[in-house]
Amino acid sequence: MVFIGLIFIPAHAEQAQELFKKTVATNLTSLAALGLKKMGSKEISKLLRESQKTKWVPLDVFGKRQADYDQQG
Amino acid sequence: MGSTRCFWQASGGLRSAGLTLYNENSVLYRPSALESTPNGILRVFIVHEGLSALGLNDEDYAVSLSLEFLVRKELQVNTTPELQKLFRDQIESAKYITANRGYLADSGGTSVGGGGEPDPIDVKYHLLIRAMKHTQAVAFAKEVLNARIEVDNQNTIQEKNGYKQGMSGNKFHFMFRASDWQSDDQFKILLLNHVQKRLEEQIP
Repeated sequence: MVFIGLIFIPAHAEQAQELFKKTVATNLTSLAALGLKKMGSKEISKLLRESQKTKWVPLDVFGKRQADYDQQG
Repeated sequence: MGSTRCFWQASGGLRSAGLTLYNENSVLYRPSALESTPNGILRVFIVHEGLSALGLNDEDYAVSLSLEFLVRKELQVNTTPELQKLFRDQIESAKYITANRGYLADSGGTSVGGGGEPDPIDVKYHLLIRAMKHTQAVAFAKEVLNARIEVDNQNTIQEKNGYKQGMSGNKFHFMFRASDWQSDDQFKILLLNHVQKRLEEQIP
């Protein structure tokens, strides 16, 4: 059995987004280090760049964004 | 089985934690659905969502789980060269999403996307750990990676807040794409029992 502890997603959306982007980037870097035949370093570099542009948008339990409430005034 | 959750209708099934818009390079996620998710599972979830947003097809977590099992030192104890090859092949064979699978987006239009769910990842993660110790590890691991685990609440879906959503008593379907098993029946029973146990642990 592998022990895995708990981590918490930051409540602040920007901090959470940084955590997510960093996690994806770290794994893509690991993927590049594996030296796969078909998925080359050029493609992985492109994914890495694009992954930094990914928008991570938190929703509440009702499936709404903060902007949805802001629009309602 | 008493608690309920709110789900989105995504291309790969119902999702309560994450919805990927891969034509917009965006991920919608619900922090409350991820609060007590263990590190390894959360990491696979994030990588799954991130890769999906970039257009890589990881609908059943085969790519994100393979990557996790290839790069985590603590998981490499039982990773034979044959298993490493399997995980590498899963990543190598990943395809970019081209099919136009739609769902109702927040804006009211039809967008394209998938989604992720920590519970099926958790089940697969622990099944893979069990499978790796078996004499037919590669065959079992391959079946687990390509298996589909889905939430069973198709009858409750309704449109809400611009998304198709459903409420569920958290019943999971454990479905394999392969019509017949390549592995022996004894281990199949073991896997299914383990699935049941994991689900009971996961679901309050």
